Amino acid sequence: MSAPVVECVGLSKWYGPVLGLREVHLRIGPGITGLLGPNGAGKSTLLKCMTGELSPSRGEVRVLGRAVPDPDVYRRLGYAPEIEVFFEELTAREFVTALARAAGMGPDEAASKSEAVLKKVGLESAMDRRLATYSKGMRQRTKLAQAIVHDPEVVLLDEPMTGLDPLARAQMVELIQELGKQGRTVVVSSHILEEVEQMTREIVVLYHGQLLAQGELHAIRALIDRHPHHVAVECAAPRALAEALAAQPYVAALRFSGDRWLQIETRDPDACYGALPRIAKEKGVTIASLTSPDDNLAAVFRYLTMGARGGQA
Amino acid sequence: MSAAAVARTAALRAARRPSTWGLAALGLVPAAIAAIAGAAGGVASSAEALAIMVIAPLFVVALVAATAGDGYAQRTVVYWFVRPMARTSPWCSETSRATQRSPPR
Repeated sequence: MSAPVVECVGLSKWYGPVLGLREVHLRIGPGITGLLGPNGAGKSTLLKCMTGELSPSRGEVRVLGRAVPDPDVYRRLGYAPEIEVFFEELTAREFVTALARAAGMGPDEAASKSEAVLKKVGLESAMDRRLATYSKGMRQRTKLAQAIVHDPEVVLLDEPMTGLDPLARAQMVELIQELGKQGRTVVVSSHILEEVEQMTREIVVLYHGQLLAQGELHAIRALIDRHPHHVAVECAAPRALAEALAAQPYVAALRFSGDRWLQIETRDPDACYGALPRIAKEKGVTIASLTSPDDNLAAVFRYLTMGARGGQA
Repeated sequence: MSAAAVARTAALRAARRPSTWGLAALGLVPAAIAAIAGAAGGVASSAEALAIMVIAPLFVVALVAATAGDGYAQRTVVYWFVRPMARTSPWCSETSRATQRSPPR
């Protein structure tokens, strides 16, 4: 990675005797990064340290090459905290405009940018209603709007999907993906694996304040070599396929499930994926679908946390 | 510009709170008493004058404190906190008090 946009060096944070973060070394570059971990893992603490809201007990956080808190960083950083409350007496338009003004925009620019961003997040018809009347989904959208109104390079979103219905969730994923495509550095925290998986393959896994893993989902999966990789093949003749696969050195085990599914365990997924089409062609078997349950974040997360607990999970 | 945005927002929020108007009504009680006493030909006592001079400014302080207190209690102050503006010293001291503890041994 070239110069990281967000960097944590030996970051530790204690709340009195309670450990929030322990020796976190982290480098995050442009694009979307999923910050993943169960409740209490330290995700919000890490984001608060990145914004400068909390000072590290030890170590350092640098955003855009500067130690936070720093006003220059705040001009280029947007943050949506996990809290559900706003300035309830204001309308969404007033709220976002006020924060745009606080970010340094002039009155006209703040007004036009606020309107544009509220339209973008789907609050066009409700932007002049008081925030006190907003539903949870609308609040999440408003939080996103205030975080991006000043066009920041770095966007930190703490649990942005909480309380959203499936449709709103899909729209939020789309909005976040768009931010990533624009070249911004977006850090999204979540404790729900599927949410992060929908947005990015780049993940950071936290558990009990410790950084368990960071990198591309598939690469992290490959690191966990003590767990064979699973590939599920759906075809009309799984037994014929299994016969050919059984002799391959990269196949650790084969299982059938139903009449159409063959589950392959492999310690060399690349070789397996590479050979499958050829073997299927030789055997005259048409593969209807090919999936890898292990590329699901849930599997990665389960493996990683098992390791952190000493394999006791 | 940023400080003005905060002040304007605080004023707007305060103006839209029913409690603000209740507080304002209470704050005006001493003045009302003095006005009534004056109209009746009496002279406002020094206590009443003091109340007017003290309570009126305190009313303004209470308005600001209510909004700011809410911000601290509900953590909405964080929306200001991540903007390029000077932090208020109470917030700084709160932050450093809460975050500068020594690690456990």
